[in-house]
Amino acid sequence: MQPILQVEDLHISFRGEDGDLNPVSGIDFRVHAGETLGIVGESGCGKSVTSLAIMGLLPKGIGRVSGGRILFQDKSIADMSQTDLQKLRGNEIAMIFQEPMTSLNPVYTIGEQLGEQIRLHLGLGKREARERAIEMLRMVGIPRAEEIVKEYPHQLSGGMRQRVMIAMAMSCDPKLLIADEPTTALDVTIQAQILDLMRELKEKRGTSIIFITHDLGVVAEMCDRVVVMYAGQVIEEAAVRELFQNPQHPYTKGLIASIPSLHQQQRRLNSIRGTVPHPSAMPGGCRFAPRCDYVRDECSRIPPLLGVGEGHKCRCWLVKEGGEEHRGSFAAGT
Amino acid sequence: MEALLQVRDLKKYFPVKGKWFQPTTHVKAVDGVTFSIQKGETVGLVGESGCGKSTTGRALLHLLPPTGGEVIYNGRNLTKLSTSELRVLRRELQIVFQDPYASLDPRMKIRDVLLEPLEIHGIGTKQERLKKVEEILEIVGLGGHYANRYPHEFSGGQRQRIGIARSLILRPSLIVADEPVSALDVSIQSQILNLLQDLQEQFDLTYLFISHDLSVVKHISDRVGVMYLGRLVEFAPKESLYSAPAHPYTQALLSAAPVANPDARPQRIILKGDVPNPANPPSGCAFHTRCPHVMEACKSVRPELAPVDGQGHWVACHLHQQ
Repeated sequence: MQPILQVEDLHISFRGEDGDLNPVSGIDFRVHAGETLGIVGESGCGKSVTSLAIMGLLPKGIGRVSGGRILFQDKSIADMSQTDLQKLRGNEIAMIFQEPMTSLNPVYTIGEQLGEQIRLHLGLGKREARERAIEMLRMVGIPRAEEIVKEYPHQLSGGMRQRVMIAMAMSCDPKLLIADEPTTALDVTIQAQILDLMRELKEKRGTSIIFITHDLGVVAEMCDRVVVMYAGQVIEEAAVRELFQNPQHPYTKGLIASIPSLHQQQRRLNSIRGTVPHPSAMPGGCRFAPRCDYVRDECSRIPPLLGVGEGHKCRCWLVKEGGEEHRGSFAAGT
Repeated sequence: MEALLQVRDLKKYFPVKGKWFQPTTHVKAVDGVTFSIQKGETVGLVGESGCGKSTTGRALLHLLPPTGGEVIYNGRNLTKLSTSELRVLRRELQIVFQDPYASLDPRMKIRDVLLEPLEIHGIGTKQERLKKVEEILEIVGLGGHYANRYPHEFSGGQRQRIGIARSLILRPSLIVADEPVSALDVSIQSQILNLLQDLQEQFDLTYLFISHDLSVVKHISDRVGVMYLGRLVEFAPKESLYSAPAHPYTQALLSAAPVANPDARPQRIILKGDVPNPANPPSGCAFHTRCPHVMEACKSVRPELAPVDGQGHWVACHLHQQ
């Protein structure tokens, strides 16, 4: 299958007071048509910066892609002109963010904001754009859509605002939707509604989704394939079931084990000691080594991302290519 | 077992000034909450944003003066105490806040942050206080050498350890932990939860643990209360609450939580609509506008908390009341 998005050896650097920081150093992944790819990781792992780079939205003069490339339908995003990029954003790739209130303009009505985008990208007239806006709002399950288009963002609840954002993102039928923690700010019952809606839209329209989140529960429910990031690198990639049943990297294992379960009672939670390294003080070798229980001499060198099974990759010296060799002794520790 | 803390019909209303010529109305953030906490146990309070769980925590400590009801701690009625008596008692009642970034003064060294409560309560000589500060930093897993640093030099998890140290340094018996791990990453969250459990054993602490995260509450609590729009809708030992939730809201809440297992596709109850505005809550049972089992009675009569079984499982729902 032809991937619609390819990220190859992507490096991103930010200008800092004491020299450049590299929040993303060499990540690779692909998104296929109709697939939901999850990107998981904790704060500061570089997952959100990556999505901004895909959209060509890194803050000007501060952040830049310093290496590697991003191909959308085989065209490099770096080579596109500003006008091409603008066509790409919204039409082909759309994005929804964590905090819907800060992504909506407080002084325009919902109808004006949705309509603007529809007019710009689809070239419809004012009245038609309004009709289409109402139709989109209905599609995302907003009641009284005719009245809501006349209302301002502050008049809506958090869940409603996120629905508006989704309507906006989906209004031009994008091929790829990037959802950056879309339900993190919402309550669980509202989160369930929004996830349900996203799943339904994906099935109906065949949109590919990059789902960025720190919540492994949401990943398990929404994603087909998962990329786990740690300190600016991909440390594991696998199909979702494989990842949860057969995690290979000590960090992934630690993450999965540290979630309190609703269904089992553990007396103590597994925890990963220490904290995520600061981008200005990255460990020289394996970036997870200072927190790893299985650290050994080899870990002072950066491990490669190796294939360890069908579509399963892992960046760890303990896991050998093909995956079988160390599994026994390694799994016994957890 | 004796109850360390009894909360009876606790109310906290916030006035909302009416527009011109319109009367002042009230947001009933907490509207008649009753429960008790036994010595040494952890009671969890769960609910969605705006349900009044944090306000309950603050009103029972009298950090916010309650509008009505009683809070009885160790046989003493907090509502009847004077400000100075209350201040003395505060040694035993402490709170840990959600946001470790906002709850530490950026201009104070950690040593001073931790000395302050000791000075306010006039505990020990200067030497003894400094020793206590070092001790407490060791206990929460930071090490005494951190005392000279400022809050910005710490990560979120470390700051939460400082927040815990500050509430623990007076050796309280009850700690209200208000979303103590919500701002933290998963791997750090589990460190802090383990720390809270260790401290509970070591110092014989009693916790009121407030959170929106059902699995965290399940992990740490002995009994759990579920709140919706200012009222307790269910209160039960955690085993029976999580295995046999009686209130339709609890059922929906539990089914909505994502499960970190791709093969578990739980039967999901998806609630329609949003939480109603707390300034103008629905009549009768406040949940009736979203309830899948709504009946006529629910629209007009407010159900009271009543026992479901003899095992301390209480629910406020007409489905369970004959």
